[in-house]
Amino acid sequence: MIDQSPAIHLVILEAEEPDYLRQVAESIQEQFDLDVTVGKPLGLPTYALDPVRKQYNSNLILKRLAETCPPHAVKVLGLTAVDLFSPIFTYVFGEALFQGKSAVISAFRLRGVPDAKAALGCPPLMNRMEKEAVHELGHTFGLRHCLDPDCVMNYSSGVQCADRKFPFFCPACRELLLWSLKKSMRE
Amino acid sequence: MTRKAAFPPAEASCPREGKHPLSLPDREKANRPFAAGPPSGCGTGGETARPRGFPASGNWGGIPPGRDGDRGCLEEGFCDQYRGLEGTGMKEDARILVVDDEPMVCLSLVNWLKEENYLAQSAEDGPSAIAAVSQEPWDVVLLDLKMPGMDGLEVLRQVKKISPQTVVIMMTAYASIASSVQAMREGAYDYIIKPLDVQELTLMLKKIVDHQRLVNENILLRKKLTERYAYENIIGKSNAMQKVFEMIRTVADTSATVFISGETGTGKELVARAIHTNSSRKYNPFIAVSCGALPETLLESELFGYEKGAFTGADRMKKGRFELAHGGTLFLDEIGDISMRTQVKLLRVLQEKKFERLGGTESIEVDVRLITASNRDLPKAIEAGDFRSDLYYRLNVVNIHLPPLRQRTEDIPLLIEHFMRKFNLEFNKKFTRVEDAALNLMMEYRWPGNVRELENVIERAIVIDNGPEIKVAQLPFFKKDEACAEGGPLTLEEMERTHIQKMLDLCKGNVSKAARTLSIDRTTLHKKIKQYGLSKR
Repeated sequence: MIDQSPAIHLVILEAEEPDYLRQVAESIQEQFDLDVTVGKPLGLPTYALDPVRKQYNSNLILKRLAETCPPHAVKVLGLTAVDLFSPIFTYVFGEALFQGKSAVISAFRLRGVPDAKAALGCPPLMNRMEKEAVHELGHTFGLRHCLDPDCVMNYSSGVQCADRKFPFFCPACRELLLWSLKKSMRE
Repeated sequence: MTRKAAFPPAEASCPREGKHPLSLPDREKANRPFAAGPPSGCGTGGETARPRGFPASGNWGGIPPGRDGDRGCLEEGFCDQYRGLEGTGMKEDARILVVDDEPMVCLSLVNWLKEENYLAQSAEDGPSAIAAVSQEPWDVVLLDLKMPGMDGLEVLRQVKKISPQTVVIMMTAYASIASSVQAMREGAYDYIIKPLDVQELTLMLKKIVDHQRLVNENILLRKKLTERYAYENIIGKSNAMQKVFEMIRTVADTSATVFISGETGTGKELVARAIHTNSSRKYNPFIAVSCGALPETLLESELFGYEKGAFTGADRMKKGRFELAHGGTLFLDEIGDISMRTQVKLLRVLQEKKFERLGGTESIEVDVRLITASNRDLPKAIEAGDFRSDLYYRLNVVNIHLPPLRQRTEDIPLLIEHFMRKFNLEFNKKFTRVEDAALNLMMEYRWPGNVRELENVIERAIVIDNGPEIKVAQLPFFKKDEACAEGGPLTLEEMERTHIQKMLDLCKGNVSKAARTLSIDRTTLHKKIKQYGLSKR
């Protein structure tokens, strides 16, 4: 049975549920204090594949996610393992519509190596996915990049930067998020 | 189809154990806004659990280091400015317009810029970009070079015409040197190649924002300076001052040499600055030199500079004030005090517009407007042989005479009001008026130190009391000066006589007591009483 209370909806853009799903969902639940719902795996987002770049256009995915967002969901987050690009950048770990409805994150670059295989001794991928998910969802709630290097909203220019920050908001971003959440609920 | 994620409470989520960097109580505090349910989590806690940069005590809900303090104090109804800015909570660093014919590029870039704390909007073609620039001010325009219809270069030209201060960065997918050079020639700040390098763009924008901030600060400071020294800031409604204002207006935009005469404290430097500020040289330096304050040799080296090795201690070349004032105004105060030798050198500079540094052979040409001032009567000094007449005539092309304050008493209330306002601000006081008796005293006083003296009197009165009225009691110097004000300056003998009489009055005619107070012996006092014919009452 579908629970109609406000939630963040996760969409798996792969054939199967990834192993980091549980941790990502837990972290979102904890940080945003919203229910988390998970849709069935939708498979690869082939509609977004750029044959020249051999990468997937994150903007197209965001657009599709926003269109297919279930009514109970305040935000929708896509999880994928394919290599994402934004038309202006060579690649992205994830992207979100600023103050919008949708966000998407990819495990491809977060593995830390170009061939997308886990590097020896690198922190668990799930930690990075967790931070990236909270970060991108933060943008959908209107949070900007934070100057506090520990805050999850701090900008990560590489996986090393992502590793050094915490998977939660600094007090200032948390307060902003609270205000934004209240506003979202009112709307 | 959706399903509710059946995630167990965090107590049971053992994979997270020991990972969370905050102890349980700290996490509760940190998560307070969301802690609707029972406390969850199973962190190990302890000192190492504290995030970097936060105090060791449990509640670290303060402002994180390096953050805008406004963002850490959010209550219901907090920080209203957040709401005006799309609910994001920060004042944007800059306003950026993205111009690209590809909607996806616009969307991505605007989105990213918003995340980076910029206010961003997009335009999909040249005409709409030009319309946006015409309607609103933009700090930066990120402009695609190749667009259908009006191309990037044409848009660049139009943007620069409408808003020259807007920084334009060209974006191109094809790194063509020729087109990039052309864009730079047309006034583009830089160009970037698509797909963009995030770090390069971040640094470029940061550099521009920092530069813009400095430029704006500079404009603001210059404006403040202009206001400060505009002639409107010289106070006076008297006819004499109106003539001075008229003269400043007339001579300001010429390059005529001006000689300002007037007693000390009448505001000669203020007039010199006003002339400079209202002239076309206002963005170039105004250099003031007080000639009377420097010994002859030092004055020469200050004015003309010196070459390395010109004299003992000249270990490096130094530019003189004439060189430093190039393009601007040089103000030589107390010109009447300079030596004959310096007068000769000065005369040569005025005649030939060139000079040599001390110890140097190379002639240096300068474009300097000279304003001089003196409180001495220079024609008298010429008669006495202390000042060269040829130099005087060179300096005195235009003469502005500043009347002493005693000759323009109608300006005193205005000046008092001006200084009251100035020192109220400076000392955080609330003086609003002057007691009638105090004003009368000030109107009758001769003000030997002119406006400067009046300024000091008002400053003193405001410093020693809390207001809101300046009273006679705050002007003690008037009492001392009463005798002076009535009958002009006193001789020492007259002063002694007055003082002894005051002491006798104070001691009610008791000579012994008065002698003790005056620290002289009784016999001497008796002699003085007899000598001056004083009354013991």
